[in-house]
Amino acid sequence: MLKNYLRIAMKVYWRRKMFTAINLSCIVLTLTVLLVVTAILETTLYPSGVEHRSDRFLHIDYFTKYGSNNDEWSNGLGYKLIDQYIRPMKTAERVAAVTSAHAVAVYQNDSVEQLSIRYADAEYWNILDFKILAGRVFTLEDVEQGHFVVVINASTAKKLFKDGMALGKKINIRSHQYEVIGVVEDGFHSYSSGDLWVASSTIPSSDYRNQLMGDFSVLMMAKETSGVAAMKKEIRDIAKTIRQDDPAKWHTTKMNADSTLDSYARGFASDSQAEESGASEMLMWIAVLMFGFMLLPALNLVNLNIGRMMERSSEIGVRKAFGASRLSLVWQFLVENVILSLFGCVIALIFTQIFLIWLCQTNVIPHLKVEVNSTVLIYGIVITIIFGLVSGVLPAWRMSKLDPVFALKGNA
Amino acid sequence: MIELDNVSKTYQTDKVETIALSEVNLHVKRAEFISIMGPSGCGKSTLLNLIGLLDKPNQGRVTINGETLQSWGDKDLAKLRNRTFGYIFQSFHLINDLRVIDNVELPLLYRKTSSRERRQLATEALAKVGLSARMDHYPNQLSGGQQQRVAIARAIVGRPHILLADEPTGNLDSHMGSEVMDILLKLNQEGTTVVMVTHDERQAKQAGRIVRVFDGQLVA
Repeated sequence: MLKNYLRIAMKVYWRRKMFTAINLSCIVLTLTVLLVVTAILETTLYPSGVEHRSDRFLHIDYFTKYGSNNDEWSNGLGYKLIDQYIRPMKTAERVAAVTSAHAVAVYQNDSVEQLSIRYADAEYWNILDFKILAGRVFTLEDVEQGHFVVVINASTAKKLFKDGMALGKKINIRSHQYEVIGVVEDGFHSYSSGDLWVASSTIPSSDYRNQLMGDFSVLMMAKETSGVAAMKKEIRDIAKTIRQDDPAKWHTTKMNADSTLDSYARGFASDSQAEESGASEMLMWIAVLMFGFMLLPALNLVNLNIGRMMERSSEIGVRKAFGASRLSLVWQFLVENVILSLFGCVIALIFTQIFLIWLCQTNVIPHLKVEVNSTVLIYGIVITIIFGLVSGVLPAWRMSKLDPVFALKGNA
Repeated sequence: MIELDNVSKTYQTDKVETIALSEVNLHVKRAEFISIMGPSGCGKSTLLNLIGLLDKPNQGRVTINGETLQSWGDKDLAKLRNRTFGYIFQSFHLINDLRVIDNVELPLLYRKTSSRERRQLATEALAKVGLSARMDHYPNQLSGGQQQRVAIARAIVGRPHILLADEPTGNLDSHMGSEVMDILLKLNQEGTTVVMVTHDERQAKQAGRIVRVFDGQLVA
């Protein structure tokens, strides 16, 4: 039966070339926009590449302390808070501390380059999976000994050293000479972006070691994905035990360990320290918005499809006379519509990939790496089938209701 | 086999009500061949459509094989049409986008039949109407007579009990018309009930019984 439907669908589409072209353009344009959005969202919310272990690591970017008179203060984590409260946690296999990426002027070959720098500990390199292009990353010993060593990314190596040979060379950062010990691939996600990485122990003043508030984030990794929930719970429990420097003023502390998805969702939440990040609501709203975007062109296609099906009222009459039920006719027309949509999906996937390559090359988002991967492909097929059904179900249902006698007369 | 009791059919347009059939009573026995005759617009095709369950009466009762069809759902009607009836139309109503063999297979699509069995039954049906050599052609590559023979093959492929033919020779020349009549007569001899609407007195006489319709009523 499906073969019969496919054959007739191909024939009809080939016979009505103009209609098919208009229909396809509408499908391709809609799907391309949706697939580009899906690819960017997928790579943002579920990072791959350097942060490919994101399914089992969580991060804490800030904590909130609460005082009397409804006072509330949120801040990044200080090294003392990480060292004293978070590092001893039981449910995490690894805990790393890293600062956000700061702008820094680097003097090299009589010129100044504006780059971004992160201070990190050795565990940072064990949680994120950077591809090491040359040399090595800094170790626990480097951090403990306060070695002035720096790891740079590939783009920075090219920028600072014309021959690209960076290993062993010195870079002047904030009046200190750092030796380049490694070159890693470019990263663009929240924690892998940056041009230079140096050991946290080389921060100019050692005051940071005594601060609860600071500029650090924590990355923590569970042994397995199933351990993530336990880490979340332990962090919430740890927060309750934190004693602020001024406990008389600040009586409660809250913090949450979040996945990337959670942290984006928390940005939209009214209570930034609620136990639930609101990720499922955010995903639901994204789906609703995407469906809304899909609905307008789908409604336009409904009219086109009714026109196309009306031409086939005699066929509908014949099929009904020979035993087609209303449901089987709906199924036939839906199959036809979904086939065209799937064909449009293939073109849209090609257009999406071309657009994403262009987007990565423009460097609008530095070091962006986004492409049509298997997940986007699956989403694409799902979106396409929904689009095909939405734009086809109404005309198919309407035509299936035709009275066979009128349909045979071509009186649709 | 077919019973129409006091069946009436009216069509309602914006302001006008047209009576197509009025209080018709008809009984067709198994393996009977009847011709329905009458002037244009008298209600012949409406009668055929009511028998074939393509239309519903406003009043009266239609009974097929002892089952009275009142408040039957779409699915049940579709099944009954598929199993019981084969339709032959004046203008063939073949699907031009499908090959001859696919057109003939069409009624079998709506049954649980494997594709191999479908192909075999369709090939047999085409052989019966002498069109085995044309199964891969498209309808518009055939003459009118050949198209009607394809339509007959499609009508008989599911081995229906009743063949309903609405002016099957109306668009054919006399030679081709005779060929089609011969096929219908042969099918009737093999036990198929045939109800045929025709304008052609000569062909009508070949049937076992002639039913005449005038102004929506059966006349003797």
